[in-house]
Amino acid sequence: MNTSADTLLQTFPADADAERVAARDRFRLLGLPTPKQEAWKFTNLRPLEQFIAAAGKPANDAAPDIPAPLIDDSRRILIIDGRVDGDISVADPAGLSIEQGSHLMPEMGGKRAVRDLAIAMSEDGLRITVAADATVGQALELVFVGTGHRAGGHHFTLELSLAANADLTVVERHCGTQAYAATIASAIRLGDGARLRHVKVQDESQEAFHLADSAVEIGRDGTYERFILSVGARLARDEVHTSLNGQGSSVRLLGAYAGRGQQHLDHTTHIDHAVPNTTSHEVYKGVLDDRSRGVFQGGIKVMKDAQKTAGHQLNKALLLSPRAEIDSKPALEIYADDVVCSHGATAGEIDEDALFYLRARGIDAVTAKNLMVQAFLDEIFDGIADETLRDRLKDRVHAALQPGDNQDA
Amino acid sequence: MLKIENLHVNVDGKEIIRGLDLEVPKGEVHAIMGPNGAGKSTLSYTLAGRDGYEVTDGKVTFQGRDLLDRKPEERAADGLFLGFQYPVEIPGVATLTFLKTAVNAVRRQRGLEEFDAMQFMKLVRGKAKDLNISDEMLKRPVNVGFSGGEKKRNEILQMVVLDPAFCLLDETDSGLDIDAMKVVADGVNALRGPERGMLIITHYQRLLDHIVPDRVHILAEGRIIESGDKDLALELEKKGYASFGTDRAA
Repeated sequence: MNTSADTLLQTFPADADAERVAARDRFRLLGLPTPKQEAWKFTNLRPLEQFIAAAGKPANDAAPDIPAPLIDDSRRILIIDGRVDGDISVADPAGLSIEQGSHLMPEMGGKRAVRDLAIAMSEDGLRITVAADATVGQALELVFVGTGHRAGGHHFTLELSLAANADLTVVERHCGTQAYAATIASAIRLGDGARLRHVKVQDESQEAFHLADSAVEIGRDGTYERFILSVGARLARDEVHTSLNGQGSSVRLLGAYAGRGQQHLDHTTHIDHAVPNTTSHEVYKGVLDDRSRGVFQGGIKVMKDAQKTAGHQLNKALLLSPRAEIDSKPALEIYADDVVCSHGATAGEIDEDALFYLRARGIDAVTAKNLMVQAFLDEIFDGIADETLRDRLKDRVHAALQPGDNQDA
Repeated sequence: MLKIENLHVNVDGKEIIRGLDLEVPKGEVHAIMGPNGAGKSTLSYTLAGRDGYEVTDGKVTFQGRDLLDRKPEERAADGLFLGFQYPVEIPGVATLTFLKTAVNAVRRQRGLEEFDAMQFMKLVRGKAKDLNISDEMLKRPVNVGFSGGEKKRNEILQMVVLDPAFCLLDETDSGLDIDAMKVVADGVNALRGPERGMLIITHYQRLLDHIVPDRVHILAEGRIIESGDKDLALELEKKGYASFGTDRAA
């Protein structure tokens, strides 16, 4: 019935295990989400369906364009068109272990279309674990490169599992050239006292589609710090579901996004405060130019027993063009009575008073505008501890805001 | 140096400046005094080139050149400086970054070599000290969380480092206590010189005790209704605006 779902499932492997089959069956039944579903009401996947229907055009055979590392001396793993490149297996004394081709922890993440599609169709995956009490000093950089060689798309599963008191920094970077559709399903589990710093850079080709779904579970006193920079793709959705399952656990979600042209950038997050004394802090800031559109959906749910919860959520968007658009939907569901929760959303334009003030000091209008836009976004980058990484990401977003930026070039 | 002839300015379709004539020769400090609604801020924004201030008639020349067809940033580079009545807060932009960007933008337009970080810091440090501006204040975002006095001192610092040919100060005394006013006035007085012109726009006479003008003009209902020497300000302070034929008392 659903042609795009069938097309996407065309190469489903014959020897698939039960988990894959179940994911495939769910996906085939429901198909790609549509705006009729509440969770997708601001993001219409019709352009993706059209792309899938038209797929099969001759693939280019240019060599993949591998970017320079974001963190010097990091351990790099390349994933080209959804397949891990080269032999990456490690099991070192530092407690880090990386396995290839594994599937996600099946009990995690719920049943959502993007997840199901990625699980059903992934040809490769990574399972990264850190042993108890191990601090992995060397950052791990996962570089996903899309080339458009494979019509239809590529799919991947990523599992990150930190045992008690383990500590890891992961950079997850998505880039590419040409047109393609990429999906990734992630499962992230932090044991008691574990700490994960996770920087995601969504810098896909401007013709690409990027759909990501992450499920995160955090144990007692665990800390998950996530930062996403989103500048790429024609249409992207980054969805994160976090469960604060242990007392004293905390999550921090920071996001910066910059859209130009007709880009559509969707950031959807859900945070469940399941037990008492948990903390969430979430700030997303975006700059939208031309006819680009941003979506922010932020759900916070505080369960009945989750007293002493602190939840803070904010989305701020700066619209540089009258045709740019932001849809912001914060949603708080609170069943406990002793909590401190806040949420806010603002959308604004460049402050004309400030613009004139800068110009009256001799700064031309374009430079003045850039200065203000950068200042608006820069604040959020303070959340990145590594100074070199912070500067590189700032440079990237500043470049993305300049007219004529083209990562494919 | 600055010559305004028969200036008419509309804001939101309403005529605010109605045939204003004024000439400030170089080396002189003039003051414009006027009640609320006289058109003081409209005059300063018009001279600085703000959007929304529509000149319907008249002419303004600055250093012999037509001012009104110049963009705000070009006017700044030409040497016109407006000290704002309400300095604007710019979150996220450090004061030092702002100053350096401005100084180098102006130097570039004036055909001078840009300052490197060292040269710039040397320039700013000395001037900031004279104005009681701490390093900590320079690191803060422009005017964000500054007190009224800090904002006005910051205006004067910008003026000093931008080295303008002409200073236009819009109600620089508003929101200042007497000590802060003294600091600001000292900063302004230090810039007085034979090559520089100044126009001080103020509601009250008290600033003119510290910055003594060569000429005083009374602005009411969009034009200059009386001009005189510094004693005119004292007379005005004593008698009030009403006695000078304006029905809008202060």
